[in-house]
Amino acid sequence: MQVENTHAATNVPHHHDGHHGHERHWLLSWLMTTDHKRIGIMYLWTSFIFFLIGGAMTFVIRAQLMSHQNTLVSPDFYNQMMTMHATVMIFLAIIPAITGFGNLALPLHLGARDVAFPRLNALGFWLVPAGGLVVCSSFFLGGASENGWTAYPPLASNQYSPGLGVDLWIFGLHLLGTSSITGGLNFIVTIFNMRAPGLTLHKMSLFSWSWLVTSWLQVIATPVLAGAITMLLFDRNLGTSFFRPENGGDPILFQHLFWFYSHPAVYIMILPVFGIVSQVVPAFSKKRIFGYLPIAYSSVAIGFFGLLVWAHHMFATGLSPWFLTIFMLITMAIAVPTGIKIFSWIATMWGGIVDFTTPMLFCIGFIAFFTIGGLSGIMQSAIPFDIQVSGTYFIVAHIHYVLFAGSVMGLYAGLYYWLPKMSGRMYSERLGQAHFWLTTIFMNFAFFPMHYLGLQGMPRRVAYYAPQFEQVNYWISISVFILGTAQLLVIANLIYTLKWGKKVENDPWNHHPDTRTFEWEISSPPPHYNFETLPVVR
Amino acid sequence: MSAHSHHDTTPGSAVAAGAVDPHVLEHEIASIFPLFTSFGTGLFLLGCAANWNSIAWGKGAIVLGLVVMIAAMTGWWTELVRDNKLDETTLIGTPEAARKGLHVGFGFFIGSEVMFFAAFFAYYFYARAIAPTWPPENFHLPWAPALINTALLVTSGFFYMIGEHRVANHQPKGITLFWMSLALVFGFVFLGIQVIEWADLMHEGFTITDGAIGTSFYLLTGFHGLHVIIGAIFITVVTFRIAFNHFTPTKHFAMTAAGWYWHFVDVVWIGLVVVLYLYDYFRDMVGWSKPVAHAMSQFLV
Repeated sequence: MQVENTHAATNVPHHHDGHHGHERHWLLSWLMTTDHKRIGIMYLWTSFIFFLIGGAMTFVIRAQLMSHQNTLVSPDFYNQMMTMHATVMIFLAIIPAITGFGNLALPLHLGARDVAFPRLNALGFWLVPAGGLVVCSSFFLGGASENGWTAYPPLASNQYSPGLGVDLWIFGLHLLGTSSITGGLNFIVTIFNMRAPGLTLHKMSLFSWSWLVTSWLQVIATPVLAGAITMLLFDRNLGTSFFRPENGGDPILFQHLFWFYSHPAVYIMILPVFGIVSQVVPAFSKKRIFGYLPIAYSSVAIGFFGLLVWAHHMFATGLSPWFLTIFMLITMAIAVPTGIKIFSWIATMWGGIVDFTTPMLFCIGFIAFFTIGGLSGIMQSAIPFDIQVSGTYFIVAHIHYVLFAGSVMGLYAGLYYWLPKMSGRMYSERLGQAHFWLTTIFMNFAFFPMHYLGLQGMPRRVAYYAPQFEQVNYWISISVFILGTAQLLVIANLIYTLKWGKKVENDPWNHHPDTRTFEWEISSPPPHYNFETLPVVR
Repeated sequence: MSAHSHHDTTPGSAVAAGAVDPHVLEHEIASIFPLFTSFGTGLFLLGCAANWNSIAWGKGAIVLGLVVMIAAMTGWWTELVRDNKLDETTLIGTPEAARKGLHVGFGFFIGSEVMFFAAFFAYYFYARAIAPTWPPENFHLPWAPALINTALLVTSGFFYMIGEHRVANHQPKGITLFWMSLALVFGFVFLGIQVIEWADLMHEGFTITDGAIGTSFYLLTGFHGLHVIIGAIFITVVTFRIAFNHFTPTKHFAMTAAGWYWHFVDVVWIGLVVVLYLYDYFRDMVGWSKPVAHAMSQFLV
């Protein structure tokens, strides 16, 4: 029925090349494009390539950890691997992927024909491969950074980490941070300025709400990271003393500035995913979202408090207890808005006609297992507990439950949800479900035992460990190999979709009218201008 | 309709609002310059890192990267000026809507710049809070150049406002160009005095490597100076565009933006003068400064 109900783009003549009137070589048309959908697709491909590169690094890491004094790789190379795994996954896989979905869906959700600044949007995208090349070129120029993705001085100083690795890491992050700021700017203005007539803030999709908060965080917090790493760069190369205590500086300051960005960064990596889940859960429950306004404003609360909790990463640094207590309490308070979302999603499914397709399965997996990461986060927010688990595998377990069970699973939900819209073809449900089950099972086999290892005191970021942990580590490694290999099913499914996938109409998911955003009312894939006449909301 | 349902998509809710000329739908804003800007900048930074680590090709990469960057930026700005001249409705809306977006966007851009400076100011307050004595014994920054520079920058901002007012009121451009040139000249004199001050201080042996005070002084004034240079380039472009009659009383966003940027640079400078120069002179006159400094050091350490 939805097809008959559409009003946008039904009478639009179809364009075979789908983007512009005059002819341009297809490669050049991609290199020069400012179409938000094409840029979104380029973001997604780039992030998926880096996801595979970062995944390959885990194979090296886990192969080394299969026995307690393995000589497979040198400790130096191990450190490069664990540093670059985190850097690549955070800055080159997850953040570009969320930005990719933002580019694809946000203008469509707002009823706009493009983002506010199309050229700036293209710049934001091209800075990602440029930044990725700068960061990764360090492997061929004497070795990558070995400082962990946090690059704390004094370890990251030129005294302890000489060479190009850290400098290139810093410059790469400058480029990626600039990409993030330009993307955030663009989305803020798009949301404030380009909503369809009648689409007030309280009527726009929850995905748009999540991006509104995320883009503010990007604009506010990312420049502070730029400042912090610039200071580190100057300490390394110009003889300044920002973080050198012997000369009036303080390495603790780096941690303050670094986490002022990097804590909000975890919300930058999760809020848009909350947004995806808030679209997919009602879509496949055939039911209006439960608690629209509470979900929208809990994102605002998470964003606001997220800027005020950075020092919970510094509980073990000996800062004054009353200072840290404030951070402990605000951190615990963030569980409330997050809980509001979790319960709202569950209440949305409650009484709905739940359709267990791949995107919905990934959402349910997200809700179940992200919650484990959320709960271990509350555990760590308690100072006495955190001091015990600081620097152990408990932290590794937590971060992978929030970033893999959270961000990555939610992003997969988005991928399967929007793949028919992007490609005009339906993916293989069988391959999709196989991907879901393998991912869910082996993700838990891989990351859950890390809680135990951490509580037993196994330090993270070290190539060797005590012999009693060997058996658990061995099975974690096997699980990671299966988990990593299972991700190749995505490539198989993409090939299937593009080659053999069934062609789809405007709305292959048969959205309930209360859950149907504008992209499902136009063709799949949409024409490059999205809407012939702008949709009007009454 | 309930606020909770997203979109009323019943048939007939779409009216002709927002309907545009079909050729607008066909036209894509395509540009190769974002790509070249990105990779040019990447090459430039790669060169910097290589050069600092004594790798021979570093300098070549810096030069090549800069050439690509400058060429790409020039191309990009040329496209923007061309689009501005066409002044037509595009996929992002009418020229009026697009200009409104530019205002909001440029405001947020300045906000992000404020946060970048905030990191360096945070360092400054932190460093002085943990220092045993601040400023170090027998250390005084000469305040005369700072005050002259403050006067120059504020006056330059004032001249710029006159220019902007004249453009907004469609007054003869000859005199407008005079005020704009004056604004620009004052900006350059500011930079000149800054360079002389740096040279003098370095001559006296005060350098960037002189502990927290050297780091804060050179980095705060240096990053500010960099922003003055960017602002001056921006004003130069705007002045030429006035000369070429690009602006009308209602359409002169570039002028507004450059003005905002110039005033932002001005405000940062005043904050910088207060904390770097004036505060220490008046510190002893202000009774509360010592307990506050003490409390801050307790808080941080």
